[in-house]
Amino acid sequence: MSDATPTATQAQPRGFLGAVERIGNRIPDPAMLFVALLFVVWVLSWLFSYVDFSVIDPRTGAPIVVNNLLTGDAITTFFSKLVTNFSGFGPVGTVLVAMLGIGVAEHTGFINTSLRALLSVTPKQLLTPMVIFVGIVSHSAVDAGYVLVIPLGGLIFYVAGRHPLAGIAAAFAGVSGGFSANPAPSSLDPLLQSLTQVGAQILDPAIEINPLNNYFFTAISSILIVALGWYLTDKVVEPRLQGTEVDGDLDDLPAMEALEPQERKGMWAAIAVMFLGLVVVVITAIPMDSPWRNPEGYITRFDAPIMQSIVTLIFLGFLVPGIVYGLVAGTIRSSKDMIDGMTKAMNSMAYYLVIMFFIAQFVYAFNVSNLGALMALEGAELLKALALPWYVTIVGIVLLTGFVNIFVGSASGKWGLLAPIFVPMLMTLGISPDLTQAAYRVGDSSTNIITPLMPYFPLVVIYCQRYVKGSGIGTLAAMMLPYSITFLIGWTAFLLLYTFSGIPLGILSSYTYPPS
Amino acid sequence: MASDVATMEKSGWFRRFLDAVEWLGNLLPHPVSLFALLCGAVLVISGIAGWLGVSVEDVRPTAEAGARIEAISLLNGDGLRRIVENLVVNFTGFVPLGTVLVALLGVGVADKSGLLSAVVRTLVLRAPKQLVTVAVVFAGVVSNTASEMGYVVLVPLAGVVFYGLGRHPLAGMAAAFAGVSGGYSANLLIGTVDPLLAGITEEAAHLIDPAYEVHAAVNWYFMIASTFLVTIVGSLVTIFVVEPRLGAYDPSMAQEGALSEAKLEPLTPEERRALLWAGVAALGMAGLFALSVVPENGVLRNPDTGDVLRSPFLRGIVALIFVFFLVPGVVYGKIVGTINNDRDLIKAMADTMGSLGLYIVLVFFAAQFVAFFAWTNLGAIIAVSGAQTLQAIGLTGPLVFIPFIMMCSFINLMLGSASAQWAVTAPIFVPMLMLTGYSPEVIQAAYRIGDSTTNIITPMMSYFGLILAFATRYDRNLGIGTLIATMLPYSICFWVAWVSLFFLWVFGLGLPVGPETQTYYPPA
Repeated sequence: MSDATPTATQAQPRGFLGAVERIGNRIPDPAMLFVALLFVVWVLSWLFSYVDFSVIDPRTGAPIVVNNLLTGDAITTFFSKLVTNFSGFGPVGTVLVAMLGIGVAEHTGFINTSLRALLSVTPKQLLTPMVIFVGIVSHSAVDAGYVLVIPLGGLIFYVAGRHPLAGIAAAFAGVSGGFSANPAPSSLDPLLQSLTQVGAQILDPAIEINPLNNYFFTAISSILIVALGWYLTDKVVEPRLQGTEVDGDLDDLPAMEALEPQERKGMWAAIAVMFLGLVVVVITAIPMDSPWRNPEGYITRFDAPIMQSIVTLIFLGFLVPGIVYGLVAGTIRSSKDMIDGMTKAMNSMAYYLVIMFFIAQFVYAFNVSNLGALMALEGAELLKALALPWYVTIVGIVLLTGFVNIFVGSASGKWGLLAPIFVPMLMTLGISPDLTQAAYRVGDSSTNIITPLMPYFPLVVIYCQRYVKGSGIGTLAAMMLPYSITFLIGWTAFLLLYTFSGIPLGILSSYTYPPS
Repeated sequence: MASDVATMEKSGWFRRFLDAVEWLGNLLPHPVSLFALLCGAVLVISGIAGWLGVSVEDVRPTAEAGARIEAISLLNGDGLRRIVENLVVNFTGFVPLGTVLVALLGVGVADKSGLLSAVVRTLVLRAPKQLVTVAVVFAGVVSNTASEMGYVVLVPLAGVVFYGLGRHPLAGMAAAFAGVSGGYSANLLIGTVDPLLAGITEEAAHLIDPAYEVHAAVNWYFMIASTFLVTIVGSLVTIFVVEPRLGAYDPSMAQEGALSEAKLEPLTPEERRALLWAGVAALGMAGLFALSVVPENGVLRNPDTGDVLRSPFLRGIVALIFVFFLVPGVVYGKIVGTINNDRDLIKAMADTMGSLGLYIVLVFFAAQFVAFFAWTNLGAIIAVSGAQTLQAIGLTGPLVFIPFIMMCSFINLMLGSASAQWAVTAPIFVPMLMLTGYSPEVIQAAYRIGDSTTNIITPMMSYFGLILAFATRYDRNLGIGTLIATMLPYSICFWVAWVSLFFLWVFGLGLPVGPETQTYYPPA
């Protein structure tokens, strides 16, 4: 899930959800969790370094050895690598660079205007699917969904004479429950990919994972999420809300303003530029000797420059249209406005940087100790012994992730922890990192909307209170539970169907390891 | 020197000159835009240079005979591909990024817990005003031993100290920056850069004399003397030029939330107790570090040579700084109640990272610019051409060192890294000046004066952006011009004073620049 410092916690509620919240609050901050894990890895590496294992390490062909991290040498190496572990950690650079571009598009108002435009041209009966769809699209801009789409969803429904809470629920389901569905690439793609790669390299140092390795799957999933969400909102959630009276202060509602003429002009100019850029990239990539292609003329190989440049293209793909919008709509008066957008985006990454610092150290230690490889190999032995069909394993991964997600909100934090274990383990069973990651993403989404530990959950409760004063965590959780269960079951089934159909999960992805 | 400075200040023309520099400099766009524009300029210039086929002879000893350094154009398929592919790596591999973020994670905790403020209040309340100035400059010079920590820790801290004393915070930052960067080559101890430069000098000297040896400490005596010179000159410039010019500080110029609320109040008994325990923790950490590096067989010494040079201690210094600030910060925060649990701790770190947004943006563009410029080879070409021009003048006698140092200072404006610059210029300058009769050790000492003095006025220096980002906290409209105009007096005074010292030391008094070194070649 999204990475932000948890906002203020509510007063102690009772009952089942209250218990969940109380237990959850005892779990330390995710960053500290990784500090603790670092110490655990150190101690385990010391203990296991005295044990002789019989499992063969596929990288060396010899029995696996756990490296003791508490020797003088190992400690001094750790100290001298503290900085490069962090600055060289994949998720740091890729996400910061992508956010520099997205920050400008957000600050100039390009994203805001496009979302409003999309919602304002929608006919009434298509309101529900459109709100969900916009929620899904907003994933490209990290937090835009929570601060923009969810309150707008409530407002639109209210203005259209429907129950505002149903609008909030639909938008929340799209933004958060459908977190992993997205028709356009987002900063989450390179983020998860880089963590997957870190995990996969435990077994295969040469392996490279494409940042868009789940792109086809997540794009097609948006149709599924819209369909399921539409049905649930109109047939289950809204009828149930009929008895709930709207009694909030409706005077200070955020305005769903119509687009100003220059906003409209700016939006079309920016979209035209975005499209033009895409056309240029496509056209320049067509000739066999294009500089985008690798020396053999392939475009979809990892050494093809275009594949190495995806983060740069995301950066430019938001930066340039963002600037064009700002210039036309008048929100950029000098280069200072652009810099402000970037600065704000970087400031908002503060907590992310802190947590990444600790994850990077943990991943380094886990990697060097060989404990990850050991766990993966032993775990794989066990799974092999159970002789489960691969689809049962995949379902297991989805359910386990969904369960962990109730307690650890941060998508990067959770995958930082799970990827080094799951990815290599399933690789030894012949399941590709791409498929493991897809399963993870399904599990990571569905339970977001029912856990009060998700950092934005309290925020959504506050949105509900604008319309219905008595709303609490229970109101929201109960309202979202149908989505959560349906998404979890439906999406898992969809993943299996998708896999059986053999359509690629994304660019340069495979189902098996090594790729067939 | 003191009288020089005083006259300059009185006459007023120097001040008008600085104002003009500031005005001109501030006409430049925002630093971030400037770096973005410079990136564009590098592309265009490299395209032209590549099209013209600009090249110079490759004089580096590693090069094959007849090899040439050619300007590489970035304005073609290969160049653009290189840019697009490396955008992320240029950024994450840029050393100031990781160093600053990690060090500030630790320093930030000490700051948010209130420890730094308590230390500053204790130190500053009684100390005489001018002693603080001297201490700041001196600490800056000496901090070079701990690699580049001066920039990250000392410069912002000096701003806080000066602000606390009711003085202009930029004056404090300028004084520290002058010590750290302007006095880059001055030091009491042998630093990381010494063996690096000595190695390059030795290789260059081999072009004339294949048996010549240059050891790491060849400039040591001169550098010790320079430490005091830089401290004195830096303090005088701060007191007589920079501070009067900046005038009184107007706190309304600051960025929101940049100034700490707590003014200079005496410590409460609780704070005093917390400070004591934090001090104990800091001493404990320092003791641990000392134990690991002072004994001959300390674990953090270089495992192969047993030296402190190139040891894990120096390579891991950022990690040590992180821990050194983190632990006392937590101890202090726990006692006074600013850090009660792990969430407060993480929040302190996140708040610190949250104030670095502008710096990260700046670093992104600065890193691209530095990388693009290095790819084009233009820096090396300028250095070689400059050296060849000097050679063509054909000066002999000690005065040859004046244009030599000037040339080094000039090249330094474009090539920030000391070793990168020396690697391309040494193979020309060292043989040339050896043939005129001077020893490589003396040549290297002269080079280092030129290399240091202009660090503080060039945006090419990798930490310039950091200083700028720190300075904008106190003055949100601060531009590159203001910073350069503030630093220019240091640059000029250091240059004059340091070159004078060089002539006095080497030719006036005939003292050796380091242990077991000669002034002339071949040795008399």
